[in-house]
Amino acid sequence: MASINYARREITCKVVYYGCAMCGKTTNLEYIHEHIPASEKGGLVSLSTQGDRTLFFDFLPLEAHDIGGFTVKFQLYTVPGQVVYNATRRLVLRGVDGLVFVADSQWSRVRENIESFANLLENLGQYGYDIDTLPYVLQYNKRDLPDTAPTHYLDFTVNRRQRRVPSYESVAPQGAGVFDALNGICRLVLAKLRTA
Amino acid sequence: MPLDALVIYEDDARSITERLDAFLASSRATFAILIDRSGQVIAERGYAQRRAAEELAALAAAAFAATEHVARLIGENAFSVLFHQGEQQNLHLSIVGENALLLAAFDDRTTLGLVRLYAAEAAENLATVVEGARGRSTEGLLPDSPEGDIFRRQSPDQGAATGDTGTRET
Repeated sequence: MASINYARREITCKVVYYGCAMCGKTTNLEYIHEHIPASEKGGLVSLSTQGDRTLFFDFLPLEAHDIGGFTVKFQLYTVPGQVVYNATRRLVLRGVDGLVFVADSQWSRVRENIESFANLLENLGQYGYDIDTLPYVLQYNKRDLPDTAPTHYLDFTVNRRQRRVPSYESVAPQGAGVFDALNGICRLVLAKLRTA
Repeated sequence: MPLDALVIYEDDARSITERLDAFLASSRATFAILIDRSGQVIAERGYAQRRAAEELAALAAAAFAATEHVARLIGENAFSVLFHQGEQQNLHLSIVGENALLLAAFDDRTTLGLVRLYAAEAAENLATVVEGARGRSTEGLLPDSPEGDIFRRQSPDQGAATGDTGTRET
């Protein structure tokens, strides 16, 4: 649920990073948090287990100054990837304005990616949201690992709907592709909001 | 399906501020934050640190959503109020209409009963404004989506070293 506050000249949007367990969602937010100027970010909140697995979500507020006279705030969330936490995944999706679906590029994780994408569609459906009209991008992560599927095969698995969406190759711990995917989704959300 | 938006004009903002101020004055709470159920701050009063307000809003909305789910598991539709008791500060969280929450922090200068009483009254008043602001069209009112990057990495040297050239957009 985007909000536009004309009194404050502020736009606020919610972006959720979704994907299977250990695909790199939290690593994306950690990299962004470490590499963005202090004036454009708030604190990174992580609700995780002792083993550093996401239990509920991670939260990182960002703000872009002076876009057409507005301050635009993007609130980034991750969901827990483990299958058992579906109830919390669904809660985090409430009011989502844009999605980054992070796919693990390894051959061994292809099935998990497909299941996670199907789970995303199901959870969006619970709120009456439609993936075919919601802004989203794909991020093919872990491209540095030896056993990765080619991007055209990953497209075949998770980017085969009528509307093909932008996809980005990434190595999240090193930051490659992280800001590309972030900027990609932020632009799409703003463009969509203009026509709402 | 367009994105559903909450559009707050200056009159709405003024109206919300007046209602929050009246709530703070009568309940003697320390601060109040009006939160969209998606976790965004709609307005806050009595609390200077805006960014901490954002974290509070995200966490409070999540806590409320989680307890709502818990309520359903035991056959309740929802818990309409959440209360957290601390040693110095307490938090009171209540529903405002269908899609917003009112978070109030208070200390021993007031009581839970007083906060609860005035929060219920404030929620009723605020719900009218918030629901009226929901779903308004934003067409033609917002800035163009920028073509370049909205966010940049702080260290371009480091960016070159980590190989952003390996990315692709299709």
